[in-house]
Amino acid sequence: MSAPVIGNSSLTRFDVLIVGAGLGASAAAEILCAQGQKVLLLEAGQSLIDGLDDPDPSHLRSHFSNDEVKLHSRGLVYADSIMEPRTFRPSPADGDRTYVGDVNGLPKTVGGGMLLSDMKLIRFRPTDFQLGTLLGEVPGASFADWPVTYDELEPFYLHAETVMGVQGQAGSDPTEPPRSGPYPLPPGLPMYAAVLAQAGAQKLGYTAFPYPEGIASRPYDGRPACAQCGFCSGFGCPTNAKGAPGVTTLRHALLTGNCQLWPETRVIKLLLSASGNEVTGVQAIGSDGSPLQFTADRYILAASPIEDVRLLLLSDPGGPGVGNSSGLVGRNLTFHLETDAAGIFEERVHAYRGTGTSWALTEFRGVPNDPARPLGGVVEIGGPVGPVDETAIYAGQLGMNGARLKALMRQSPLRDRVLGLTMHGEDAPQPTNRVDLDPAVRDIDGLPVARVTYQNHSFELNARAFYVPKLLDLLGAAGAKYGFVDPISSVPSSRHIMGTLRFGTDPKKSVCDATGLFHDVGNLYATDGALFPTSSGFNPSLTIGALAAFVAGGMVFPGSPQKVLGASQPG
Amino acid sequence: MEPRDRWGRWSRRDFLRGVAAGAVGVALPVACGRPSSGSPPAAATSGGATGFFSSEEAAALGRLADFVFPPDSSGPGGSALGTVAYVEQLLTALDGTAPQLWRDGPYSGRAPWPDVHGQATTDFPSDDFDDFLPLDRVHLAGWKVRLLGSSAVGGAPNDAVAGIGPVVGQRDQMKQLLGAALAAAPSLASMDDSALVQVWGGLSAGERSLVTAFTMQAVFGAPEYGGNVKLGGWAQSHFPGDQLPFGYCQYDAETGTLVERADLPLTKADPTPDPDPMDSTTLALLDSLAAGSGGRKYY
Ligand SMILES: Cc1cc2nc3c(=O)[nH]c(=O)nc-3n(C[C@H](O)[C@H](O)[C@H](O)COP(=O)(O)OP(=O)(O)OC[C@H]3O[C@@H](n4cnc5c(N)ncnc54)[C@H](O)[C@@H]3O)c2cc1C
Repeated sequence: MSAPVIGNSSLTRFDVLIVGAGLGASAAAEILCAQGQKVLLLEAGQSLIDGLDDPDPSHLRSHFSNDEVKLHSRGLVYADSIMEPRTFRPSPADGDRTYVGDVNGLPKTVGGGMLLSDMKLIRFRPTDFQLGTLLGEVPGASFADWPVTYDELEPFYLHAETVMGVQGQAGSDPTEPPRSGPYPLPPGLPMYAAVLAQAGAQKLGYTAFPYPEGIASRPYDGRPACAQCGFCSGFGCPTNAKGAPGVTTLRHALLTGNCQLWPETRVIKLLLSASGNEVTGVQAIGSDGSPLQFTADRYILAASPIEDVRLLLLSDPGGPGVGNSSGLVGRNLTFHLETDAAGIFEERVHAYRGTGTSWALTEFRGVPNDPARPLGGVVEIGGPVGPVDETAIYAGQLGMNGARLKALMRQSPLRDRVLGLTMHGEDAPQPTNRVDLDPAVRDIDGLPVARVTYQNHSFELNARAFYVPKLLDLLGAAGAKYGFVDPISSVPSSRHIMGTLRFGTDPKKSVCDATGLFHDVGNLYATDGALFPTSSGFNPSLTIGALAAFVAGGMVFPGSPQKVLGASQPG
Repeated sequence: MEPRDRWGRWSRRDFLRGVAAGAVGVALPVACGRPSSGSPPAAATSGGATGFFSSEEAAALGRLADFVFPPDSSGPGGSALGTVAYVEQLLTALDGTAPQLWRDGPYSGRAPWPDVHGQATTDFPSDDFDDFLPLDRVHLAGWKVRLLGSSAVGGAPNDAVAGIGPVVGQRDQMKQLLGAALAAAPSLASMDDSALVQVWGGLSAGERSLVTAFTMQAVFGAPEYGGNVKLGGWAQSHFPGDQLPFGYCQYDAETGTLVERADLPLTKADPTPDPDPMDSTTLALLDSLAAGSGGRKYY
């Protein structure tokens, strides 16, 4: 049986076809549909929220729940690790692969990865767009300027914050970039663990401030205020208080009547004109496994950086990949170097209650070229863990069982007494960090899977080494009895995925131009994190949403993308 | 290549997973797998509810579940908390007309609706967890392989790739490990912990990990999956369980303010004394983890 089409099912001709229905896809669709463009979205994953195309928000029904078994033990919404694995190796010297399974997997569902995020939506800083110039030559790395500035993107940041209903407190972040309007919502209540951390930060002269989050702290856009249930990062929202793409950008697009969405429909090939300069259609596999073909005037890749590249390579078997005259398709893949520090308190700080992250610190982001303040990243303060995940540390990693395991679960040092800090360090782009196709491993449909080749650069490792003692100091100042820092994971597991189709002005040094259009393909755009030339040290998704709207704006009004703003806002 | 998903997919921020992993070689104050002192043999278990396990196998699995998570004065162990039912339900999840793997949402019906002032009412949502969600084409195929194995479904995509190979289904894995354990120790179900240590040690690391992971999912997962009987797993870990739609913070529509709970506050310390403070053994474990992983002990 085919999964039902969502949105206006009577549309038969499309101006724009978008691969994926995550944030990059839906933020573009929202703008395009508001401007009267007819848009078709093809999404590989299932739809788990009913009523997305129903004008009455009370009819939205989430099939997510506070259920660790479904989400974490049984992999709801993630790509199946047997049928759709990825592979990894640190470098070509390590052979074809060293690992098969989940590599940087983002949820595969209508609405994309943000459905499972705790929606930390924070802006990049003006200097993040100029690191090529500011840092100059960094051996082994390929820092580059963005072809857009913070000022050009600023109205789109405000738009994205408004659409997703970001809570925050303007002026509270000591490094806050200029903003042209207030946050649409005030901050919610902080978690106790974060209150303790804030006091600790103050003692050390740092300023912790409410994390800008796309979680409704008050009723907003027909969605309820968040009940702070604690099942946030890693879980879909049962109440839809999270302003995730499904219930915000995507829903707004669907409600225009100009949008049609096919869930469980995976695009497997871009069809090209004889010259190779135009996409003429896409081949896909439908929910029942049948082959499908779709066409439109223009096409957008928004399947997230790793799958975007896979599709470009699958579409040119034996060749360099579609749009790859620069040789850069798949290269300069970046994540954030995530440094996780955990403080264990003698008292129970119950961080399993709350939105997951309440506060942020930006002092560890650093300043370009200042050796006393290397470029680290924003620090998240929070840290919930559920009991099934907690057991996996005691029983899975420490091999505990019997009376000791039971005592640990009762005393709960690693759940009920934990304060978590996470620093998202800038990841130096490197041409050798890349996505290509695995030579042997196949997916359910017999197609080669994506292979990630990735190693850290000393740039981020040095910054991490610089900030680790400071994170530990902070945990001590907050009152923790113990402080730990996780080692770097041997297989990359960051959910912040950027680069691979970097945009820029020089076709030899970039894959897409300053408007998101492929240099080599006249009607193909990208609107996700793949465009990012550098990763910054902040969660990427607000910038993905803003950039997608910017690109879509330029598709409607070439050279004047900002003209589209204001046409689509929450009711 | 060992699949990383035996313990499930962790949330993005998995504190201490790596610290713990890195510290396995550290001298721990408690020997792993040491029997719990005086834990009684498992209560006699009849055959599994779905009939997938024979009564001997069910009793053996129940006993192993108690070895992993023993009954004691603080509450029931893995067997009484429903591990056998949990595992049977999982392993037979594809036997019926519709897959029974992912429980539906949004609510379990365990927590009430709030009123306009953000206070709890006596009105509860229905239990959406009673139903199951459908699996798409890819997940269905994946779970068939995971449960039944490559050979039962005509092969998986990478059976022939060196280093991957055919998948042995979890049904076969469980049957084989219980069969081998019963062959080695026919009276397994009535053995005490000190005798069981040897049987446990005779299982491969992967088998021990599978039994432990299943037991933990059963004990601490939502009870609709067959375990966590009478919420006994959550109670023993002082975890309130799923709390929606009430949650820990509500919006008072009349005053426009946010209201937190008095019993389980969000922004401050709990009003009640710590029900289970960390004991000296736990503190010694944390001391050794800190010393072995470059962590810190502050006081
Ligand atoms: C647990 C978790 C917490 C996170 N927290 C945060 C946070 O707080 N802040 C933040 O900024 N980021 C966070 N992230 C990261 C965030 O989810 C991503 O940055 C974001 O989802 C990227 O958006 P995207 O549109 O580029 O890609 P995605 O959201 O991945 O969307 C791409 C979509 O394309 C679909 N697709 C892929 N291939 C195909 C194909 N061939 N055909 C059709 N469809 C296809 C996928 O199924 C997917 O739905 C988190 C992620 C996770 C998993």
